[in-house]
Order: sequence, then C-alpha cells, then structure tokens
Amino acid sequence: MKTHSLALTLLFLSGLPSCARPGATGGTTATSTTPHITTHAVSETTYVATTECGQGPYAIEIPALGARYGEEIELHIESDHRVEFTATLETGDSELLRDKRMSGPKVAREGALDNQRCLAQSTAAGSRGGDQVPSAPSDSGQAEQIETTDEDTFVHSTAPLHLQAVPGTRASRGEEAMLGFSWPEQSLKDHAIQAGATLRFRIWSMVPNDMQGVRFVVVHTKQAPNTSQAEYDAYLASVEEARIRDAELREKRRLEAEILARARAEIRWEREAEKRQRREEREEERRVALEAESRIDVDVSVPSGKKRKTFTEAQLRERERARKKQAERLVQAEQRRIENERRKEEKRIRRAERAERKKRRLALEAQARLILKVQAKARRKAYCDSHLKSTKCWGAGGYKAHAKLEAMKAKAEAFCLAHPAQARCWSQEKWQENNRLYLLAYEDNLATKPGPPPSPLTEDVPPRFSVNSVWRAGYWEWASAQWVWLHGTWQVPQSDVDSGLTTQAPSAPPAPRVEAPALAVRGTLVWVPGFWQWDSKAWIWVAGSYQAPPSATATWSPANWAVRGSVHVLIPGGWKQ
Amino acid sequence: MSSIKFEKTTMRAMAMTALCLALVSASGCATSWAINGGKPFEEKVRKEIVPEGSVDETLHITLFPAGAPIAAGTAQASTAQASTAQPRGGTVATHTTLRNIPSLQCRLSQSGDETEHRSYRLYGSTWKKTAALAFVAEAALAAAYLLKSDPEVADTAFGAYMAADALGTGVLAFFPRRDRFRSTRSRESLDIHQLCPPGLNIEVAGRRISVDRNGKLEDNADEYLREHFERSLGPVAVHINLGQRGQFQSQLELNKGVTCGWARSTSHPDVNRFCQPPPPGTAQIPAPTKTIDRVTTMLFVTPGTLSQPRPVP
Repeated sequence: MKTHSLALTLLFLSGLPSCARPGATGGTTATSTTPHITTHAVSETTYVATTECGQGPYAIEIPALGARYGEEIELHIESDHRVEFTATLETGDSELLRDKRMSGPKVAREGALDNQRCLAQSTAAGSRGGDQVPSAPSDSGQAEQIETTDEDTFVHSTAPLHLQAVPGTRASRGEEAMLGFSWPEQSLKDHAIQAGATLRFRIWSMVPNDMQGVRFVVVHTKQAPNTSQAEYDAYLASVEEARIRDAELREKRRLEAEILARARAEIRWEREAEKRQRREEREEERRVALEAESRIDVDVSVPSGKKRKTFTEAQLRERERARKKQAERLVQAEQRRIENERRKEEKRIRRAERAERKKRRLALEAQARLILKVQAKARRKAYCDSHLKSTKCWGAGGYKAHAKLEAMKAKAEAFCLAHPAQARCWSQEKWQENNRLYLLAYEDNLATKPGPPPSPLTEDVPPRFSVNSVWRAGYWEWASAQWVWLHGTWQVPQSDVDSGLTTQAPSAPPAPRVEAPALAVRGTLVWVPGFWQWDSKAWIWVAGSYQAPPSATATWSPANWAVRGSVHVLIPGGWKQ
Repeated sequence: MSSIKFEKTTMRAMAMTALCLALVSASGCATSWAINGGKPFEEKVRKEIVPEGSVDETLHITLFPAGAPIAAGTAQASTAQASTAQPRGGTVATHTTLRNIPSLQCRLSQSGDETEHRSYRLYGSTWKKTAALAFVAEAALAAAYLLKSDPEVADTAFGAYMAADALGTGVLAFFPRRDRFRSTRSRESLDIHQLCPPGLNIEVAGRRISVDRNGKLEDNADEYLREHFERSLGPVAVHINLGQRGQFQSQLELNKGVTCGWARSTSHPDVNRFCQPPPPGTAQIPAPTKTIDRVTTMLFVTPGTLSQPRPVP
C-alpha cells in the first residue's frame, strides 16, 4: 500500500528549558562525548479499525511513565485516501487537547472525503436495513399499530470503541497527520500528569471515514540522558560549577570596569573645573581693564571721524555727578531687588513653616483621636465585658443573644464555604459573574456544538435485497442539534433491478405498518418509510429511518412489490432527482 | 449571605406614629392596638440566617400551547439579559405581546431549609416615644372636644372616648420592655435564572423538538402540537441531555383544561370536541368555563448541574 504524506495539523515542541538541560540543543551542538538529553523511544504502536467504515468514537490509552526529564506522545494518522478526524487528549476528567482536527493526506487535504461507500447519500438504488421484526401478517390488510424505531431510545452509549493493535511502525515520517503533546511543558497547573496516569486519545468524526488502510500510530517517547544517570548528574554538577565560576569572573570584570569608569569621570570633571576657573579669571581681567579704561577717558564714546569735543570743567563735573547719580540709582535698584527677594524667601519660609506646623498639628490630632478612639473602644469593651446584659453593647437579649447570633453567623459562613454550589451562599459578585457566564454557556441551544457521536448501534442485517447488493453500515449524523442514527442499508445496483435479481416472494406482502419518526429532524435528513422483506420463509419488517439524500432536490421513492407472473418482485426504494 | 444587620426602626416608628395619629381621629391608638391583638413592633432587631442541609435544584418548565407571552420583535440577547435573575429578588417577565406559537418558559430555582435566628426588643424606647406622642395627641383632642364652649352630646362622647383611649395609650408607654430571641425554620426558594438549558427538547407527536435558551420552539412546533392534541397522544415528554453531566426527563400533563384552552385560543374549528360540551338547552357555544393556558412540570436535577454555568471552551 502506498502511503501519501498527510497534513501536519498541530505540533507542540518538546524539550525542557535549556538551564535544566545542558547540552540539549536538539543534537546539533552536543557531541557524542558530551552528556545531554536525548529522545528515547518508549513504544510505537499501530492500531487499525475493525470495520471498513467508522466514525468512532475510538479510544487509545497510554500510561504515563513519569520520566524525570519529560515525555511526549504523538498520534499519527496514516492513510492513502482522504480522511478527517477530530481528536481529544484527556487524562482523568481533564482535557489536555480538545477537539483538534486531523485531516489528510496533505496532497488531498481540501478535497472531498474518500468515504462515498460509507455514506447514505451514495445509495443509487436501494433501501435501508435495520431491525428485523418477524412477520405477523395481518389478514385484514389494514395498517398495523404505530411502530417506533431505535431512535426512541434517547440515551445511547457513549463508551468508546477500542482499536485493534497490529504490528508495524510508521510508514512515513514527518508528513502524516500528527497530534503531539509533551509534558511537563504543556501540562497546566491543574493537569499535572503523574506517573501511572492514563492518557487517552479520543478520535471521532462527523461522518464515517473509509477505514480501509487507515492506521493510527501512537509514538510514546521520553527524554533521558545519553549516559547513565550518575554520569549525567556529575556532568550537571560540573556544568553548574563552571557556570558559577563564569558568573564570578563576570562580576569581577564588571566591578573593575565600574571603578575605571568612575576614575575617568573624576579626571574629566577636574579638567573641566580647571578650564572653567581659567575662563572666569580671564573674564574678570577683561572687565577690570574695561572699567579702568572708562574712568580714564570720558571722550572714548565720541564717534570716530567726528571732531573731538572738548568739555569745560563745569560740564565735566556735571557729567561726573550724573554718572554718580546713575550709579546710585542702579545700586538702589539692586538693593531693592535683593530686599524683595529676601522678603519673598522669608514669606516662602514662613509659609512652609506654617504648613509644616499645620501638618504636625493635624498628625498629632489624628494620633490623639486614634488614641482616644482606642481608649474609648477599650473602655467600651471593658464596660461591655462587665455588663453582659447591656443592650447598648450587645443588642436585644444582651451578650447571651449576641453570642448565639455570632455562633450562628460562623455556622452560616462555614456552611457556605463547604457548599459553594448553593445559590443562597453566593455573593453579589458571584451572581453577576454567573449571569454573565449563563449567557455565554447557554448559547442558542439549536446551535449546540457537537461532541463525539455515541457508540455505533448494533444492527441486524436484513435479508439481502438483491444478488449483487452491498451492505452499507449505519452511522451517526449530526442534524437538528442532535446525533441521529442513519441505519445501514443494502445498496442495490440498478442493473440488479433491471435484470430482476432482487428478492422474489411467492405472495403479496402484508399491509405496511404505520410508523412515526421518533425524532423531529429538520433540513438535511429525510424520513424513509419501512417495508416488508421476504427472507425465503417469512416476511420481515424493515423499519423506517432517517436517511441523508444525495442532494437537496432528491426525493425518496419507497420500496414496493411488483407482480411478475406468479411471483412478487421487490423494487427497492431509491433516490430520484 | 446573611450578615450582622440591625434593622432601622426609625422609619417604622415614624410610620407607626403617623398611623397612631391617624387612628386618633378614628378609633384611638390603644383601641387599635387592642384590636390588632396587642402586638408591638420589634426594635433592635438582629437576625442571622443559617442554611440547613442540601438544596433541591429544580427547573420549572412551563408550556404555553397556544402562545407564550414572548415580546414580539425583541432581540434574543436582550430578552435573555432581561430574564436573568437577581439575588433574592426573583424576576418578572415583562413580555406583553401574545403570539399564537407554542413556547416554553424555564425557571431554575434552588429551594432548601434555612433557620432564621432573630433577637429583638418589644416595648422599647421607640415604642414608648410613639405611645407618649399618641397620648399627647389624644389628650389634646379629648380636651378640645370636652372643653368646647357649647358641646353637643356627640362631641362629649367622642371627647370622653378619646380621653379613655389616651389613658390606655399612656399605660402602653409604661409597659416594661422585653427582649426576645426567636428561631424560625422555613423552606425558602431562590430563583436563579430564566434560561432554558442546552440540550432541552420536548417530544410532541412523536417528534423531538429543540428549544432555544429563551424557550422558543422550532418554527413548525405549532403544527406538531396540533397533531398531538388532535391525536390525543397524552403527556408531552421533556428531555434534557447534558452529556456527561446527566440526562433528565419529565412530562407535561395535558389535561382537559389545557386542551380546551388551546382549542379556544387557536380558534380550533372543532372546539366542542376539546371542551366540555354544553348541557342540553343552553347556548351552542361553550360557556367560558375554566381553561388553562399553560402547563408546568418540574425537573429535579443534582444541585449545581444547571446553576453552575460552564464557560464555553
């Protein structure tokens, strides 16, 4: 059998954090002499279905080893034709992976499923099989009592089917549909997987798959050192020592670099200070020189090129007086400015002091109030302790009633702690949260998401409808928010009908039974009525059931018996466009 | 949950005072107290409610065969919002428009025993103040009538009566106070929400009909129900399939009143067949005797099954 590569649906990487797995770098850098963590195969088991068509739910169980460095399981689905499954991984009541879609092979991933022979729609001509009811022909020829079918049984078994283990390993690697889970990495806090715990894959599909050639391969691996545990531990210890040495060395170098940087900064700062000082000295010298120059030559401001103006003694004195007045005004303005600043500063300081004093006062008052409150409380407590009948302290009934009510309160709290499911114990927040969750959880019931189908029903195969008819097993179909069982049927080739190779009976069948469908199914499914079938000895009632039409416009032509000479020939029901 | 709670008696006292003052003009405060069996009001009340034992979680399912009070045109989400319950408050559907389409109403409740421990005071200070106030009012009224300048007999009689009642009221003010402690065990029910759970369906005329969270049935449910009534197929089975959390079922009994109510509401052409035929000699149309427009059943589930919502994965 040729096995095509299938789509890789989901892969979770395995591997522990590098600090815990020295040398574990996927095997690319670790040499053969360096101890490191490697993947060791624990088991590789191949399973196949026991039926030609199936939709599950199948179950595969694997015990966890509790390996120190982690484990991983992979589910591979190999097929040479297009299949599609939904897989869930669970342990106990916890779901580790939920409803992961697995389809393949990759080359035909988006095409139609190769399961035509397993579906009801493929019936070109034929009818359904189902429960056999021994005949009790009615002489009156009237319709008999209403019959109901298996669907009347509301509760169906959900016990999963177990697959058959067969020898063999994976035929192709890395290209088939695969679902992987490794732990402890992927284990959630609530899903700690202990040694001995059972991990269970549940595999199912919405419609039956052609299981011919489909193989489920479960690969269980564990992470372990490539040397003995003692050697690996010694190696880990040496690695840890080296790591500590490295860390110490790095810290020493960091400190040295820090000291060096600090010294450099200090030198730079000193140099800049010297420069600044020299610059200030130069500016001071320049200012002194300018002042001296202005005192010596009063005509220095006379524009060049003009005739030099000469001043009289009186004019010079006047100028000198004006300059002095100007200087005095400047000095006074400077003094006023300094005085204003001083006052402002004093004001600010006084304000700050006032605020500080107020703050201290308030703190003291608060402290005093607290002390008074504590004292009052203590006094009240002392008073109440000595006045057990005081209703001001203990309410109506005094301490006796108070103590009783306190005990009841504690009892109520303890009860609610132990019974969180009781609504009378819920807080306001819990009510609000629950109301929100109700609206989420109680989504439109008609759009309920399907879970795995129930286990397949056991069917009694009715007598063959024609010489070359082929049995198509029943399966579950999701319709109207419920799983509906579509009974198995004999698929009759048109050539058999044309050639008269269908069942022949010596007499006419009894009157048909009146049946009522047990389920209200809308839309896609069609109710196919039952009919009488001859098994060479007696009449067998083949009960009606729902079936899936090949198209929306297809109608069901019911089975009937035609008289051909001295015999009655079955014309099986079939779909007509 | 229950907590320390001193009930405010001020408002009650004020109301009592107002009542007493009102009674002064009629029968008098003391007389009214005596007529009412001599029951004083409670003061300084503190109560603790202690749950006792387990609760029963019940889903009440009501079928309206001829149309449920579903508000027409209301969006499902807002309807659902409106129908979620509040703590200790219960909910009241605000639906108004009747539609002739069968539907369900669901109500999830928990009921269980609980004991209320209550300490309180009788004839306390508020009582005394109220009585004193009533005494003053009645005495003033009596004086006004008795000291009238030109009293009539009726005035004098009323004044005397008020004076006597004022004396009685004055005595009430001096009743010694009494502290009481009472424990009362009762069964209380608490509505949780009014959403129909997932997996709920009903079996009508041999067909299983899905129900959405607001109780809406499939579109052709009225036809199935008509068939069910016409073929007299008996009770309607109710199923809930909650997967691994369990499966529950019950029955909606369709008695004569329900059948007749459905036939009348839907103007069934053969209404006489479903309703009690009229006695000979009376009108042809049946008299409007007792008809029932709904039928209810209860599903008892394990506590927490429906009240603890599971988030959608």
